[in-house]
Order: sequence, then C-alpha cells, then structure tokens
Amino acid sequence: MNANIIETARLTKGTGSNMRVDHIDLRVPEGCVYGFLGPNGAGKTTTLKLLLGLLKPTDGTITLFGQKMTAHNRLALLRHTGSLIESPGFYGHLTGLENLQIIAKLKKVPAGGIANVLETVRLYEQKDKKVKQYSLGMKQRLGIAMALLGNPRVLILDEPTNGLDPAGIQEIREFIKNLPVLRQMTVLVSSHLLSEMEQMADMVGIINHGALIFQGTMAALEAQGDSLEDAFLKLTGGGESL
Amino acid sequence: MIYHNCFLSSLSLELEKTRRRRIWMVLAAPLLVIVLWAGHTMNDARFLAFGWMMTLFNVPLLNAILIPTAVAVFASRMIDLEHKGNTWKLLETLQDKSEIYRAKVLYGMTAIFLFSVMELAAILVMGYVLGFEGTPDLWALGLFFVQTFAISLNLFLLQMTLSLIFSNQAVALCTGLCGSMAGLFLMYVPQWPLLRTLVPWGHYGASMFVGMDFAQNRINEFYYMRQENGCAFFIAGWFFLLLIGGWIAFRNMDVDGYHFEPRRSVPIDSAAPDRTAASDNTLLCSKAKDLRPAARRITIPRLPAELIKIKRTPIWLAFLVLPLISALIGTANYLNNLGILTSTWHSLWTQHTLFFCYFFMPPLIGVYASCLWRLEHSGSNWNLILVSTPALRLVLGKTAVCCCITFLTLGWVCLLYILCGLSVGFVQPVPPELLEWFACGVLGGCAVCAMQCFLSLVIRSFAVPVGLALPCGFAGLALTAKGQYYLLPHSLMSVGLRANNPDLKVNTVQLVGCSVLFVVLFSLLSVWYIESRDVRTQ
Repeated sequence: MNANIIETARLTKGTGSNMRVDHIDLRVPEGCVYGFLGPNGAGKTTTLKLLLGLLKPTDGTITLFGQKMTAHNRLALLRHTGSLIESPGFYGHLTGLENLQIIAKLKKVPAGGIANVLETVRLYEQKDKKVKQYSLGMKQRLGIAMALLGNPRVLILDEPTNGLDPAGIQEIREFIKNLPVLRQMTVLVSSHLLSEMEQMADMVGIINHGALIFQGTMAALEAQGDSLEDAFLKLTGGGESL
Repeated sequence: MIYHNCFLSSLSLELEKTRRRRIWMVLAAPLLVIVLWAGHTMNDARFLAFGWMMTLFNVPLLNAILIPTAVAVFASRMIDLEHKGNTWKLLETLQDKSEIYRAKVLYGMTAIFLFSVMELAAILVMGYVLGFEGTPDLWALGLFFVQTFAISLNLFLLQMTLSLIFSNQAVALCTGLCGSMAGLFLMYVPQWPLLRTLVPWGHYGASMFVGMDFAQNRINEFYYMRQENGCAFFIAGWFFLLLIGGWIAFRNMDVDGYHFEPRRSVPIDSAAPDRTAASDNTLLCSKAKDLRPAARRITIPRLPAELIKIKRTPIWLAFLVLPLISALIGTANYLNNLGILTSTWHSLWTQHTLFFCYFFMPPLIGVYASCLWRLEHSGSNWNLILVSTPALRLVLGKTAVCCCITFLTLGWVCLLYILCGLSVGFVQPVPPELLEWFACGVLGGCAVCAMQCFLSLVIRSFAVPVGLALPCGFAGLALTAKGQYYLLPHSLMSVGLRANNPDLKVNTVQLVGCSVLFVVLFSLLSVWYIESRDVRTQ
C-alpha cells in the first residue's frame, strides 16, 4: 500500500444543529478496498458527494491523487474516477447501450470499453432494451457499468449491492475484492451491511452523526470487540440510530 | 360519520398533496391576465355604454386562448406528482382505484368552480370600478358562469386523462397548447360552425351568446343571439365521455404507468441463466477480457451527447402540429378579411405569425427546454452528469439543441407560409425579405431558448416554465406596443419575425445585440446556478 489516493482534511458540510459531515479526515490508501460504514443517515452519501464535488463543502479540503481539488481541476481529477452515488442515474427512454454511449462520450472513452463493461456486469444481452424496462438489479448493474467505464483509478460506490439478489451480491462483492489486484483500482465503498464489508474491505472508516469515529484496518476494528458487529455497535452507541 | 365525510376527506387529502406547490397560481395567473386584458380593451369611454355586453363578448375569446393551457398545466401539476413520486403503487394499496379517481376529479372540479366564480366576481368588480353603464344582466352573467365552468371542466378531464396516461408530461402540455391554438382558430372560422361545436376547445366560441355589430372599422353595438348549434348537448356529451373514458383509462393503468406496447413478461435479469456460474469468483473479470471481442462491435455515434439523449422524445408532436394549426388559422382569417387586408404576401405573414409568435411559440420553446432539462432532473442523474461534464458545456449543449429545434420550427412556419400563399393563389413571387425575417426571428428565438433553458434548469417542474412562457408572451406584446421590445427575449423574437408588421423598420444592430446579450446572460446565469448550488436529486 502506497500513499493515500484520497485524503480529506477537516471536511465539513453544514453548521450548528444541521451538521451533516463534521470535520472528517479521510485517508484512503492506494490499492485497497476501503469500506465506509455507518448507520442510516450518518452522512455516508453526503461525504461521497463532497468527494466528487457534487456538494460544496462548508469547510475543509479534498486531495485526490495527491492534488488538492479545486473548481478548476475538479473534472480533470474526476476523469480518473468512476462513481455510483445513491441510486444509479440513467435515461429511461434510452437503451442500456445508448446510456453507456452517452457516458463514454462524456468521459471521452473509446467505444471498445463499452462491450467490456457490459460483459463485466452481464448486461450485454440486454443492452438494446430500454432502461425503464430493466429490473432494479439490472439498473444497479448498469450503474456499476457506468462507473467502471474508462477503467478509472478510483471507484467510488455508494451501497452498490442495493437491489441485487444474493447471487448478484456475492458476484459484485467478489468483483470489488479483486479490483485492486486485477485492475489496479482503489475502491471506496459505502455500506451499512457489516457482513458484506467484513468480506471485502481491507480498510474501514466508520461514520456516525457526521463524525468519523474510527479509521483503520479491518483487523484493528475487529480487535475492539468480540465480533465486527459487536465492535460496530459499541462505537456507534448501540442500536439507537440503526 | 366517516362515510358521510368521504367527499370532504378525499378533497382535503388532495389539497394536502399539493401543499407548497402553489398550484392555485396556475389558475390565478390567467385570471389576472384575462381581467387586465378585458379591462384594457375598455380604453374608450364610448365602450362604457355597452360595457357589460362587450366584456361578455371578449372574455370567452380570452378564455379560449388561456384556459386550455392553464388547465393543462394545472392537471399536469396534480397528476405528475404521483408519477414522479412513484406513488400509484402505494395509493392503490390504501384506496380503491375509483376513490383515487374520484378524488382527483373532485379536486379539479372544485378548482375550476372557484376559477369560474372568481372570473365572474372579477368581471363584476371591473364593471363597477370602470363604471359600466346600466345594471349587469344577471341571467347573462349566470349563463356565462355556467358555460365557463362546464367547458373548462371538460378540458380539465381531458387533460387529467392525458397526464395520467402519458407519464411524459410533454404530451399533455403540448395537447393543451394545441388546444389553445385550436380554440382561437375555431373562434375565427365561421365557415365550419360544426367544427367548433364538435371539439371541446371550440365550445367557448360555439356557446357565445353575445354578438358584435362591427362595421366601417368601428364597433357599433352588441346584441344577444341564440346559438342554434346544440352546443349544450355536445358539452354534456363530452362531459360524460371524458369522465367515463378517463376512468376506464385510469382503471387500465398499471401502477408503473400506462403500457401501450403489448406487455412483455417481467424483465429477465440477465444474470439468471448464469446463476450457477456466478459462484466461480474470478469469472466476472476474466470473462470481460476474452469474450469474442471481434463479434461484439460497439461504436459510439458521432452525434453530440445532447442529441442522443432526446432520441424517442415526443417533441416532434408539438413541433409539427402547432405551426400547422397556426397556418390554418392565419390563412382562413386572411381569406375572411380580404376586404381589409390587401398587401397579399405581407398580410398573410401577419395572419400567420401574430398569434403564433406571441402566444404559442414561447410556451412551445418552453416545452423544448423542459423536455431537455427534465432528462437531468429525473432520478439521480445529476450525480452522473456533473462528475463528467463541465457546467458550461452542459448549458451550451442544452441551449444549442433548443435553438436548433427552434430554428427548425421557424423554418417549418416559413415553409407553411409559402405553401399557404401559393395555394391561396398569390401571383407575386415570395417576398425575399422572408429570409431576413426568418434570420432575425431565429436570433430572437435563441434568446427565448436561453431564457427558457434557464427557467427549466432552476424550476424542476416540467409544466411551470411552460406556463410562465405564456405571460411572458403577453408581456412581450405589451412591450412591443410601447416600443421597448428589446427588454424581453419574447418580444425580440416576434419583432425579429416582424409578426405584427412586416413593413416595420427594425434596428438590426439593436436586435442582434440584445439577442446575443440575452443568450450570454442567461447561459452565464445557468452556469452560475449549476456551479454554485449543491446537487439535489430526487
């Protein structure tokens, strides 16, 4: 593991009683799967949106690939990232292929990559169907395909297994786990499913009420309690917000 | 007790749903325009003598122009919230389908009733404030009220059904616009009286009971007349047809919208056949690399991304129909008034473009702009688009596409003009100035595009920016009358097209300068809006 590929310093969104993200110092080392854990409404999605510049931070800085993100270099830096935030975005009246063509155009990625990602998420056979006719799981797969397009160095996934069936969850989990080795990608993945995280993350950050309350290796976290669940509940103050 | 209050509770539920949507403004705005307009026509003290009758003569025309669009926006606002929130599937587990339908109809009926009452009250107030002579004829006012209510209710039922069936609200709104246009058209075509009796938009004209004696370019007096066209029966017939038709359409609607194509079975998850293989952990990655790459040739179309996005969008519908209706009205009106209009090609141009440019082109551009931005407003598309596109390129892309469609629309208007002129039998050649009008009109149109794009970006609703375009068109007309047309994009377009007067000498530098200024201004505002705001997804 090398230097941190994503770093934030005192990253903050909101003020006073409406504090959504509270002075977070995130450190994501290159070449790992970083699990971003937290109860519902803890600020996971807000943090990821801040990292992508979709929200303007109230305070703090974001450093991607060793460069401080500014309004000017934001898109240049993001060109090396792929992301899936909240539910996947898509144009329902277009086919899966047409949606990917638009994204490829915007990311300036050659057409060859499209077939590749379609195969990866197993949507190739369904590529000429309108996305509004896709099932929930297929839409999620399309979202992952969009994020993977262009072989980014960093992949930011917000609860990527939402809506997938058990086989799909397992498939995506194994896929994510292998990305650092097979494609030299760093993955930042958020979830509230502990067992899933346990199986794929090397590094963990836990966020609760907007504050980062733990950051370290998975092994260090597990050492804090009898099990991961136990450690997690201890840190987040029991089940009160789960 | 509960059963007793069923009527009120379903109504209050609908009211609750439309909270904070300022839905009443959709009907209040046209009412204001109608009152101001009707008051404005009373600009001669001579008219006060027959003020009451003149108002009853004028208001149905204004109703015919404004109400179809306003009701379309209104119905779309109250139905679209269910489509957008995906709430049909929730509602249908709580209520009977007929209850939902009844509540929606009741809500609309109440709104239309209030609108009609307010319009009547506004006329009375206007009469007393301006000092109309004589006492108002209560029977006439009562009849007018009943007509406004019944006809507008029919239009509401029609629009509601369209908004229900087509979750893409562009369809309903375009129909509303076309309806406004058709209402105006039918008002002016006395040759086919049956036509306006037949369609719901023509009923405002068909049921008019005040006639005007107009001779030597001067209004002489107004008189009551009896319409012998059986319009009342048609209104009643349409009411039952629309009420029952709407219910049947709604009953057949699935919770996820209406399916026109024969329903395919539930989408098959592509992973299903490979389920057994999924346990092979490395499969996903290895498969991607070596799966017959030669057989799988995928290319990226050379079209700009913005054009790929509007594939299969029903923009062409309004695009083709509205100018066509306008051309038909214009030509018919020209033929009816051969006595007054003489300068052939130039007269025909005014007839073709006047109403179209001020009242219909702005909302039409509004529909284009809303269609384009709706793509990004839906779902979590902002998350997707803003990590890969600079705001400036996005805004310019949208505005450029909007301008292109406007260019094509105005080109279609010019083509229809030439065709109509030739078919009427003009012997003179097509005026070469047409090219200049067209160019100036497109330029002004681009300014309108930039403004509507900005509105549709900031206002996430589909219908509201379209509705706003209508008063903007009226304001454009007012500004043109005062000679300050350069203050608003909407009047720039109409003046550029020489819609009110083909012989008008236009300061080209001013026109071009202002248009460019508006385009730059609204584009920069849009970029600033995107860049300074946090992303909001649904």
